[in-house]
Order: sequence, then C-alpha cells, then structure tokens
Amino acid sequence: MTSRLCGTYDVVVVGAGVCGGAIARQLSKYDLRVAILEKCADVSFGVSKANSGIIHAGFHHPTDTLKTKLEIRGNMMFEKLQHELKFPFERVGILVVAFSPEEMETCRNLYLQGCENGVSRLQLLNAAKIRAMEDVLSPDVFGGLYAPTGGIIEPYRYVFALIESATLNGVTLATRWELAQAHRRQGVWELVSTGGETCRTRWVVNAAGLYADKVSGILGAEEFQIVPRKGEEYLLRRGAQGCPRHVLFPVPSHTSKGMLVIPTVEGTVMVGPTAHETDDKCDVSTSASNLRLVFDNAKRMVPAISSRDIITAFAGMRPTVEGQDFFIDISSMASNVVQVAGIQSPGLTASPAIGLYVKDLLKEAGLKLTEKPGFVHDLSASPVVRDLDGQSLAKLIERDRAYGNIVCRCERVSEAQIVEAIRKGHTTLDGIKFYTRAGMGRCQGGFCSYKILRIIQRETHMPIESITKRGPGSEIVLGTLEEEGART
Amino acid sequence: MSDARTITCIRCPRGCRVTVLSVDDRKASGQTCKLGLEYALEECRCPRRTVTAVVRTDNEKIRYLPVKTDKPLKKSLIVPLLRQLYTMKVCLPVESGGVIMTDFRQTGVNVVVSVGAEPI
Amino acid sequence: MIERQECDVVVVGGGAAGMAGALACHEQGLRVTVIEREESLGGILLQCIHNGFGLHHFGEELTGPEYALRFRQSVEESGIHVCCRTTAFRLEDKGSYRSVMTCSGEHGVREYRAKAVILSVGCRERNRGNIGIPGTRPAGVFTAGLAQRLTNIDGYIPGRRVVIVGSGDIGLIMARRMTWLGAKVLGVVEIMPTCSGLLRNVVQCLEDFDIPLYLGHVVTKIIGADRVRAVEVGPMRDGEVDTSAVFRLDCDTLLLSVGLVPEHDLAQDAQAEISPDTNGPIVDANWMTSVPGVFACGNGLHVHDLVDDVSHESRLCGLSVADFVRVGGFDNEQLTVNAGTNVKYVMPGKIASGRGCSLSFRSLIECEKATCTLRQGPNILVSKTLRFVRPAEMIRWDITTEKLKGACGEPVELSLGKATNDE
Repeated sequence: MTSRLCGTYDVVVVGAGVCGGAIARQLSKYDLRVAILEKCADVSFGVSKANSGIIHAGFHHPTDTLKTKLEIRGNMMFEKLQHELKFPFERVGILVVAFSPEEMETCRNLYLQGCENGVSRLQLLNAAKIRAMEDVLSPDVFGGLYAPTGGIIEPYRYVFALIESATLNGVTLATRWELAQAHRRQGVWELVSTGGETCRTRWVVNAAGLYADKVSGILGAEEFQIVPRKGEEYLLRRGAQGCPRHVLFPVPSHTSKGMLVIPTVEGTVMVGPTAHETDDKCDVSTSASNLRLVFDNAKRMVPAISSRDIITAFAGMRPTVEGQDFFIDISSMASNVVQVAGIQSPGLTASPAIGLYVKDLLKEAGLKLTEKPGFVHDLSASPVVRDLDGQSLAKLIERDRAYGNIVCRCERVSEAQIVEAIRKGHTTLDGIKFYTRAGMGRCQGGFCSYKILRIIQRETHMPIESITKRGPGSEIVLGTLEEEGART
Repeated sequence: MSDARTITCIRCPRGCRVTVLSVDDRKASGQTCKLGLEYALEECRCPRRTVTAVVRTDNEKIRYLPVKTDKPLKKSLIVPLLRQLYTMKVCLPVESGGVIMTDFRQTGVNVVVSVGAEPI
Repeated sequence: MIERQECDVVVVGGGAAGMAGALACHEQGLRVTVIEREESLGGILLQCIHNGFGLHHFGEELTGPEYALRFRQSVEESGIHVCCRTTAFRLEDKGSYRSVMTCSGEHGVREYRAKAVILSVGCRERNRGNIGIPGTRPAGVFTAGLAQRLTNIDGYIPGRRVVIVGSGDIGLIMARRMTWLGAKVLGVVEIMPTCSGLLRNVVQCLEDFDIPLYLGHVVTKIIGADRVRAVEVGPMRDGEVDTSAVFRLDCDTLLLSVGLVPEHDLAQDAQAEISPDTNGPIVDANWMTSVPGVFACGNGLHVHDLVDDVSHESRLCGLSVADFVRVGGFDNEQLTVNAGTNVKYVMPGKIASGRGCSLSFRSLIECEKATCTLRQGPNILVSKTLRFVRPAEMIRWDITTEKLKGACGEPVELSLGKATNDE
C-alpha cells in the first residue's frame, strides 16, 4: 500500500515495525504531519516478523538500563492498548524454572532485580508450588520465579493495529520505500528512495531494525554496527502435548534469556528461540542441529513436548548493538535525527513506552506538540469468524454473505476477512496470513492458497504472476498456460 | 539390426524387464507372458502414450477443462499436441466425450473432453 | 436466525467417499444431505486429470474427473440434497440425534439434526513443517496436491525448474505433469531405498523423460531468500545423512509428496477416539466411530491408494448407517482385529462376529508372493495368497460370511508372511 508522499513532513519514521508503529501512533495524537517509510512490501516484515510475542515482566535486565525502564513502563500499557486496538493479548504470567540450588540462586537474584526495577507481585516458588501452578513441568524441577505480570500477544496483529491506528489518524504509510540517500537542504531533510522518490521532512526517526546502522550512515549520524543474532523457533499445533499455562523460561545465561516454551495467544505452542550471532542479516534459515537443541531444552522443562507436533519452523534476527542496551537518543552528530536502534528483547514489551519516550525526546528538542482534538483512540473490532458462536455468525453472514464462505478451513477464516485484509493494504500471502491467520493452520496453506490467490487477483486486478509471498522476488506462480499458448 | 533394448513392462504389477533382441523376428527374453512380449515389441516399434491435459475455455468461472487422447499417441507427437492444445480455447457448453481435436496429424487420434461443462 | 433442518443422515464431504456413502444410504430409503465445501461434488478427483481410476469398480480406465462424474450423475439423478460451497464446522452428539453446524454465504448458518453422520472428509498433505526441511522459507515450496490444483484447475505454472520430494504416485504424476507444462524436472528425491509409486508411473513419469530418481536420499536444505534458488540433497547412510556426499540442485520449485494425513478435526470435535496408527478415527465393524451415530469412511478414515477401494468401503459404511438409522443401534458382537506380523494396521479394527467383512490393511514387507492369514488363537480362520505386496499399496481383503461362521468370542489377528513355494 503506497500512499503519495508530498509536501514537508514534521516527522518521518524509517521502519514500520513494532517501534516505528508505536512511535507513529504516538505522534499521530498531535497536530503533526507524520509519515512512515517501510522498505518491505508490508509492515512488520522485518525484525518484528519473527517475534515470540512475549510481554516481559521486567526482571531480566539491570535497573539502570534504558531497556528496563521502558520495559516496565511498556508492560503496564498493554491492557489499555488492547482495549483500543483490539489485538489478542493475555496476561498469562511467566515462570522461570530452576533445576538446582544454583539455578534457584539465579532465580532469587532475578527476584531481587525485579523488585528493584519495580515489578509487582513477583514470587519465589518451591518445587511443590511451581508444580501446582504448572503440571506439565518436569518432576525434576527444583523451584522458580513467578511473574504474574508477564503475558503473550500476537505480535503482527499488534503492529498492524498500531499502523492502522496511525494511518486512521492521518499518518501516511509508504511501503516498498527503501532509503538510499539523504540530504539537508534549507534546514530540512530530503530523503531519497532506491526508486528515486523523495520525501521532505524536518525530523527523521531511525527505527530501521536490522538496518538502523545503514540508515544512520546515510544520515551522516552515529557510526555503529548492528550485529544480527539469529533465533530459530518451532511452532507446535493446537492441542500439542505439554502446552503450558504460563510462559516458561529456563534460568538465563549471560547472553540470552534461553529457550522457552510459550503458549501462544492463539492456542499453539512455540519453542525456542536459539541465539547465535551471524554475519548475514538475510540468513533466516533454520537447521536440523538447532531443532534438536531447541527440543532438548524444551523437554528438560516439559517432558511431554514432542517434535511430532511441529507444524512449522522459522527464524528471526535480533538487531544487537554494542553495549546491549537500547540506543534511543537524539543524534549528536546529525541534525534532527532520533536514533531508535538495538531494539532486541524486550523491544516488543517496551514499544508503547518507546513511543512515549521518542515523543518526549522530540518535544525536548523543540518540536511543538499540540494535541489533536479529533484523535481516534479506538479501532473497530474486525469480526473473527473462528471466535464466533452460531448466532453471531449467522447475523454477520446476513450483513455480508462473504462471511459465510470459509476459505481457510483449518483456521476458519472467511472470504470477507481476507477481503478486509486486502483492502487494508495486505496484498501478499504473508501479509494476509498474519492479518487473518489463513494459512497458519495444520495444512499450512495447502487448501486455501489457491483460493486466496484468486481473491487477491479479483480485488487488486494484479496479474497472477505478480502476486507474491512477501514482496517482489517471492512470486508464487511463474507462468500461466494461457501465456504458454500465446508463446508457441 | 538395431541393438538390444531392455524395457520395463507395465502391463501388470510384476514389471518384468524384457530385453528385445529383434523386433522383426519377435525375439525377446525376460518376459513371463504374451502381453509382456507384445508390450515390449510395441515399445520398440512405436512407443505410444495416452495424453491427459487441460484446455482453456471461454468461460471465466470454469476456466479449464480436462481432456485426453482417445487412443495412445506416438511419443514423438506428444509435445506438438500439447503445444497445440495450449493455444486452443473451447467454447462452452461442451459435452463429456466431446471431440475438440480430430485426427491429430493424421494419426487417427482424437482429443476428447473428459468432463464437459455448461457456461456459468 | 440459525435455520434448522432435519434428515436421517448428513454426509460431510462430497468426494468419492461421500458420494458412494450417500448413494448407499439413499438406496436404503434414507433422507440424505451432503455437505461439500467446494463448488461442486467430486473432491480431489476433480484435479486428478490423469488415467488410472476405476479399473476395478467400473472395469474401465478412467481419469479422475470421469470417475467423479459417474458418481455425481447418480447423486444428481437420485435427488439427494446437496449443499455445495458449505462448510461444516461443528459436530456434536446430542444423544437422540447428531448436530452438524454448517455455514455458507448462501444459507448462512444452519444446524442439521440427523440420526447419523458420515465423516467422509478426506485427508490433507504432509507439508514442509511436518517433515522439517531446514533452510530458508522462500516462495516456491508447494505440496504436490496444491501444485496439481494450480496446474489442473487454475491453469497456472507454479515453477520452471522443479525438484520433487517423495516417489509416491502423486509425486511421480506431478513429475510428468510439470514436464508436459514445459518445466524441467531435475529429479525425484526419495528417502526410502525403494520407490513407493507404481512401476507403471516410474516408466511413464520418470523414465519417459529421463528424470533421475534419487533413492535413499533426502533434501537437506532449501536455499533462496524470496524464491527457491536451489536445494541440497544428500544420501542416507545408516539412518543419517552422509554430509560428504551432499550435492546441489539449482531449481525454483520444490514439490512435496511426502504423505497424507486423514482430517480428523470434526471427529475430534465430537470427542471420537483417534487412532495413533492412521490418524483417523477408530471405527468398529460397522464403520462407526466411538461416538454413536458418527461414522467414517474413505481417506478421512485412513489413506487409500485406489479410489475403487474408497467407493467400496464407503458403500459398506452407508449400508451400515442405514441399519443404524432403521434400528437405532447395533447389537452384534464384535471381535477385535489385531495387526499381526508384518501388518502395519488393519481397518476397521473390529469385525462382527460370524459375519463377512472387508478388511483394509498395509504390509510392512515387500515381496512377490505372500500369504495373509486371519487367525483366532491357534486356529486359522481363513487365508489368501497375494501377489506383489508392498507397504505403499493398501490391500483390501473381502471375506465372506461363510468363512467367518463360528468365529466368535476371542479377538482375531491378521498377519502376513512370505509365501513358501508350494503355497
């Protein structure tokens, strides 16, 4: 969905992930001209695509870090956000599981750190208590830490909702817009895309995830390096063995929170992620050895977890920066640039607070913020056929017949929902998948892909060979019989 | 006389490997029945296959119809047949069994519609 | 708001199994409704445009659509109530009736109250996630059935340089199909040391086009950021990949033909017991699941290789349903059938005492001549010689009442062994 960019914006956000989305929405509450530039075919297709969907409680990181401050603040904002933006979210609680007195000692340290950070209602549990809370846990468990304020969300629905709310409130979104050059002219930034389009703005917010270093370089701002750290995860079907009630963490290491067992808000189970640094920002491949690693770790906590229940695997990249804290600050090297870099875990949790923090940085730097009286807080809830009872579904179908036509039968997604996703700008198979869940179920698109291709074609009039999985280069169909006929 | 050729017979699940020594003299070894000998000789003389494909219609709802050759066709003519089928457009309605191509390249092989359709 | 309809039987799924089951019920005087989610009856047959169907059932070699047409015409002529473009999404046993909730654009939400339900829902394909091929997740990875649907119904060309995983018939047929569409098929990769598909398909689909068959090999990695660019393939040695012998095939498409799984969500919804061997519901000698009044047949019960067997089984199921509806239940004594030596599974898992049956089973061994035996304790009730048994071909054994007279009380066991020379 590319909108026309024209005139001079007050703020342009580079990167439409969880941070870009939160910042854009926050800024859309004020009388400002705001635009978001996203290089992929859809929002949330970068770092935010492969997220575990955990709302962290705030005990993992030291008190004096920016990430902790923003994590604690962000954690508390999710009820209100869910109420306004209607994405799936549940505060199921987090358990850190210890298997020895030494590990229990680490839990105790996390408890103390959490209390110092201001996390409420943390509890240390002994073996009996923790097993009473979570009966899928291994009988070898020694004890652990319980953080009732931890939760789970569906990350892409969250980002989509942030962006939708921002655009509803006047923010311009341009997808397939990749920054190539930037010039300062008469006190204003002129950003140029790889496609030659220009965008003028007073302020630039660099929320470009894995490529924040590249964007910073283009802007002549701070030099730093984003080192990608890959994480592989496995998704288990609904009804999988060993699905826990809480998000289960092992005791963390120096570098990583460890490999988790996560009950997703959709009823599936995620295990992982792994964590290892890589050179290649684009290498999101998974490997057999990591599958074993992930499952060995998962089974240690929950013996019933089985790789037989795997429905898919994926990998994501954490954008790590030296020092490992969030780098969110006004640039001291380039004028009118806000850096939002190195946002790895707990980025998702912190994101609403990052939005506020960046807004405050801009305010302190002199950007005039006048509240917009017509700001629309709420998004209307989109019907989710899967969650409806017979009567509600019947009423819905009377309103629009397309709600009765089930396209994805594994996740019970109707044609109307797919059309809604397309009309909101999600015209790739992945975009539609993340918006509606069509293609995420047990058959992984075997029975619905051909229907979705037809619907996209009908709604957008795109030729079939232009329809992609996630943007140009990932076309689904490479030709048609009709064209073969025309060629001979 | 051409070199001996070994064929896998597909007339029954056994799948005998039949080595044809002379087509004209009907000499072969490895077959365990008459059908096997006949199949192997025919494979050497003139291998044929039944071709199944789909053909474009003039309708936007039912865009393709399944078609097949009514007899096996010489292998060397399969690609030319397919190429021709890809250029065709069948007008609906058409009946099941309806002929859409007659006597392809004078082989006596016709292309028929497996299942016909009414226009939608 | 929710329209309610009543009938004797609801048949969920209008493919080969559903049509045969519905016809059998109708023949017995029942009021039948068929629920089908696609545009028309026929199921997967509609996209199987190749030959090879119906040799047993009709005595002719038909294409998939032709086989489906024969049944569809019978269904249309019979006046059986058919609802296409309708999805069944809930099944509940309410004691005195079974409730099936459906939705469609045309009719909104409907609740069917029926005395019996036949689940003839077919199966789905195992996908990349199930078999866990490592690597990237580009466009261009399709299950073979999805690719078949795209080529044969929609007229799309999914790829131009293709590697196929799995040497079962679906994979072999697609090798030929893609070649006939002008694509280059670089090879078929099969993990087992022998080919699973029929020999005729190896000849017609691979040898005819000089397509290499890599037996005992697996795809170890998928390469390509946005679209498939290549795959790595390696041989298996002693159960592990021999990494020193891994080679690369440059391609833009990977087709997966790696197995089928019965769809059991509705059965599970109704709390029916699911078999860990077949992944379909467990049924007794009357094709009834553990939920009274809910029956299953066809690929939704267990994976068949010949549609003729599906039609046969579904007809028997339909006749059973008719008995159930007329009488309200079954009271025949049933004997458990256990899978014995060299038998992977037997369907159904029970036979009715002293009554003929049709057993479907899969062999664990491959040999030219074998003997299958049904015994009760030390007594051999009946045996049969079979030719060319292999794990990839389901075997159907119809046993007459005559042969099973007197078999009662104890469970029976079906086993398979290589035939000795004098048998």
